[in-house]
Amino acid sequence: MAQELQTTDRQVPSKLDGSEPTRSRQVFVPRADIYETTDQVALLVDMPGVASDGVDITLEKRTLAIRGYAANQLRESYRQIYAEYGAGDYERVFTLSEDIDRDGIEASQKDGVLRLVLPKAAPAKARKIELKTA
Amino acid sequence: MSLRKEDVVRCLLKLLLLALREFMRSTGSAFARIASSRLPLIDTPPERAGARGIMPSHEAMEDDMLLSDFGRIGFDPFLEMRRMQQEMNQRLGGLRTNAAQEFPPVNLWLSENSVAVTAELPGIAPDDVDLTVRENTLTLKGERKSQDETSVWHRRERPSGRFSRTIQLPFRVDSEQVEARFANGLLEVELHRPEADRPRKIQIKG
Repeated sequence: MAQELQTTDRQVPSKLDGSEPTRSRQVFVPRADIYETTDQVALLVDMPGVASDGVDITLEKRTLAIRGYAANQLRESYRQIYAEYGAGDYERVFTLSEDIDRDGIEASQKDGVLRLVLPKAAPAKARKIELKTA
Repeated sequence: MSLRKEDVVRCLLKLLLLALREFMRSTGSAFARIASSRLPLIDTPPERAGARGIMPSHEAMEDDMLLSDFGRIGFDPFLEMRRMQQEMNQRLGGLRTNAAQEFPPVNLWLSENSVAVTAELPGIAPDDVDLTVRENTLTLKGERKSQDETSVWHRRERPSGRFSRTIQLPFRVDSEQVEARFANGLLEVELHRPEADRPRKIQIKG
């Protein structure tokens, strides 16, 4: 059977703000799907090896930062003989194009995939200003 | 303070020359990195992301001293350039490993009488993976479903579809003794060598 699935390389060190982490560990840019519906923006981020308590999401103004810390995979009495992926942490930052209703954000982590639902904020209502006549 | 025209021109020329040199160096080093890259079959520990740039290289230190005058006037074009060079090296450094890999990526671990296969399968439920063992091969099969909602896509980077991958193991394994675990999108399969195939230690009689 032919290989239908191909994945592109993601071993790109993340560079959020020009600084580097103190822990000498690989940091990956996770692959993400982002889609928009009429009332929400949804994000799906692949972070294999990250448990739900290892996810750190911050939203500051329109900057959404996602960090995932994977547990160390230590194998006693085993030695690695072949490797196609490396263990490490994940980091990615997005700038949102819409105003988000902060209180309605929902996040869940399942099977190594983070799912983030960001409901759009209600558009600022147009307000008519009436002139008071003296 | 008034500046003479010749001085300005000379200064600009000098700047351009230095910039050119810096650029040549930056691209040179980046391409040298690609040229020397090799796809590791048996992997050496990959270069750590943070390891680069902890200690300033000799080159960088030299530049710092050479260009300290620019820092004094409050504008250092070479700082920007060095930043660019660093970024370019990092980006191109990522090309080093391999362009496209098969899905799922696997790691192989070996111990005396068993072999462990770990695979990154994010977003796949444990029941959706089909594992088969035959002689010295392990086959992973499954499907990763995509989002069907009619919506506007901003990004679509996660692969979806059916996958099948057969991994050759270093020895024949006992199909009765297979343990598979699945946690947080990481699959871990432990396969054991059959009793009869295990290497036997032979005692030498004195």
